[in-house]
Amino acid sequence: MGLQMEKSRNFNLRHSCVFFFGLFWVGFSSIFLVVGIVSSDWVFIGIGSLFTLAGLAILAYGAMQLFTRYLIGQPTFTLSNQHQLHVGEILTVSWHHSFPRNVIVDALQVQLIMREIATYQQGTDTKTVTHNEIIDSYEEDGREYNAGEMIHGHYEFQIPLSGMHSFKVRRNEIKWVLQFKLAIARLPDFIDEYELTVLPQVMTNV
Amino acid sequence: MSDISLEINLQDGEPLLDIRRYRPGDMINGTAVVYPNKEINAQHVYIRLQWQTAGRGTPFKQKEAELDLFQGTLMAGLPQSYPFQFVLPEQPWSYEGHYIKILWEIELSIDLSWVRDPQATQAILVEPDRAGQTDWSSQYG
Repeated sequence: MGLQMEKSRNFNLRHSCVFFFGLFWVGFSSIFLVVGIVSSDWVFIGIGSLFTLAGLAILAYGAMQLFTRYLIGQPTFTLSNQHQLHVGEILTVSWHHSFPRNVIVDALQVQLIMREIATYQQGTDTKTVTHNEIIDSYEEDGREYNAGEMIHGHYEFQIPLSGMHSFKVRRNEIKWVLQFKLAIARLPDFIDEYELTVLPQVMTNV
Repeated sequence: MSDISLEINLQDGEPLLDIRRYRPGDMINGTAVVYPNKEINAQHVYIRLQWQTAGRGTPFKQKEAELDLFQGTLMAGLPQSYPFQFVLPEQPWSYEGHYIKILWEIELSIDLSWVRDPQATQAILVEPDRAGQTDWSSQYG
């Protein structure tokens, strides 16, 4: 029996953040542009225009991401186990989806990823680096889907016996993620991530 | 010549090159040996079981257990030996990845007044048994 998967919360937030960050950027930099136009100051107009254009680019990308999600909707995932996984355990992933609108999907990909996230201080900046170790991957060719068309998939992944358990301390994290990606023609990819919890226990009967 | 020499001798575990491998939950038995070359007033002789992260992220250090082996005067030329015992926790396991490493060690430290504490460390490997994989030296050697 499967469990409906919980989506990674941080990942969910990121989509809306880009859009609202772009909106804030445009609003803020357009103040300089307006001040420049009113006072006929070409330096203000030049700098304000550059910043406003950059903001518009961010805004456009954020809007396209939101539009991709609007086109695709929300697929439903079921997983044999999400938060009590053992090292070496085989997990099964099933998903199904009915497209709410017509869409051209270039490719579909489901990946099991072990991700290292390390944060460090460099001068006054805090930097974060991420390394994705792709453990296993399923890929399927896409095609054009009509509104209401149903698709589904079923995959098996294994947390490798040589793998590491989930780990999180201050500024160092090892996390396991199941990533579902749809490459959409002329739009940003639709990406959903589901965090898995791998316990510090080895599956004995692999 | 330094005023003091320190040595950590471990028993049990599985020797792998210059390191010993233990399973999570295993008991570690060992001896801490102190060789004072002059009379030293030790506030404490500590032995610690600890792990730390290394690599790109800001290091994080966690002391899992600490034993106070001795307090008092260490006599010159008179080696002292202190047996100790730790039980390893179930996690984290030793790890060596792209940006993050998790390193376990046993640390022997003499707490002295007004001078830097002399220390010695002995790295250990904390790895569970994994079916079909027994050659740990190929991974960590």
